[in-house]
Amino acid sequence: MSQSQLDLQRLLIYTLSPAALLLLWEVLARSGVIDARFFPAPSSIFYHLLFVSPGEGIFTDILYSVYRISVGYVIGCVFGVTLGIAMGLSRVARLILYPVIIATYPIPKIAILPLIMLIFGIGEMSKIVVVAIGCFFLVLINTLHGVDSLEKIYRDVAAVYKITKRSFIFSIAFPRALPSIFTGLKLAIGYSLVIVVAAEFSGANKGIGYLIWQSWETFSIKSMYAGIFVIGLLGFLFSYSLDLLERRLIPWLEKR
Amino acid sequence: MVGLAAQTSGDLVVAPKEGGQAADIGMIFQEQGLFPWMSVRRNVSFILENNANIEKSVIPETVDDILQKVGLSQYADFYPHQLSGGMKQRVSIARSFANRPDILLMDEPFVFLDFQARLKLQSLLLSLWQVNQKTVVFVTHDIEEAVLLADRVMIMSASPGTIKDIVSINLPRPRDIFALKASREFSEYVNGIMQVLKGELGLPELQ
Repeated sequence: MSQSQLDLQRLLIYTLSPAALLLLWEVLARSGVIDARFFPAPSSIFYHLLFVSPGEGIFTDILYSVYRISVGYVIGCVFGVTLGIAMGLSRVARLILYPVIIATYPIPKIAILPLIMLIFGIGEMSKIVVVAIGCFFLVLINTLHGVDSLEKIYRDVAAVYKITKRSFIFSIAFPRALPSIFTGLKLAIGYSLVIVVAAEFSGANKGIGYLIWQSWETFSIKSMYAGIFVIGLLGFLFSYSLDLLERRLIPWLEKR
Repeated sequence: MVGLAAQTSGDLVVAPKEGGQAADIGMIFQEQGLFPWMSVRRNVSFILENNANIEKSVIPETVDDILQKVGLSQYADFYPHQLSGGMKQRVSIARSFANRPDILLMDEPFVFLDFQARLKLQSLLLSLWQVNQKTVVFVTHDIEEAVLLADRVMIMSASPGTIKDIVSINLPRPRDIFALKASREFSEYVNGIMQVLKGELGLPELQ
């Protein structure tokens, strides 16, 4: 089978378990085993999502959330990879930055949202910044781990063949760290959804988080579920795209 | 010798060039010296690109040429994990020969290979050497291998590692491994070295 056929096959298999879960839910809701006021049948949620939510402006909400995630994610990841590689290769950089990183990493990013809103205002920038900070740590720590796992033999080979510093960074350290970097990228994309929704609960008037919060205030359960479904769908799409990208960029790893 | 381990004492003088420039020393490691993220071709060309003495324009040609010599032309686009141990070691040899070092240091390069792959690579090394005669310092525990490949065998004692004896191997080149192994001179050299090593092993006398 060709690579694209394999990808398609994988996508089909990936949709099986979520579909089974939804089917079970549907049966339980329709038979009255679970309370349909709190757990409305998936079919009615999809109906709501397709025919009611667009009128309530769900596409604008999605657009805003995706915009905040993408910009924040890219900024956070670029900084994370760059600093991770710098810290992995330079002893000085590591000695200076590592204590700061491990001290600030455990602080819940949402806890500093009010501070960020004071500094960057209540507009788009504060959401982008909080997403970027969240992604930054995950990508940095995984990148550092990847550079650290560079085997001694490659340093020896580089020394024997007088590999230039530049070649060492871009052709040895970076590719060696790439599998770990992707672990960080995948963790970060999920986490950025968590952060953006939390940030939109309080400080926004558009976005999926805002939609869910507002639906709670108006007791519009189906709109709330519509928002939750969209988050799940986005998470699935983002992670799946990263999986595809990973397989394209790291052809040298033995296939799992 | 290649500067990976600090020297404890003494001087190391390696073919000083004019102007006090150090000699280029290549090295072939026991295993896993190839970069897994580079194809076979890239593993060779990457090393050449980092060598200031090699003209960029001749690199593709040099790479094709050496891969053909070690019999890996068809595998140029494979990644190391797709190759056997012997093939990986052939890439290692290819890349160090193509890099044109003054001296090549080989540290037990065939130790993890099976018997047949080892024979194949020993022949390959002999024929590569025949067209491209460089000084090769070859570390091995295999006496037959030493006699097959070398002009001079330096026998080293275990801790402290000092040179116990030097045996010159006066076997004609080019050498044919199979003819050589069957010959009487070959056995005599091997036995001679065995005798030197016998005391070194410290075996108890048989009753």
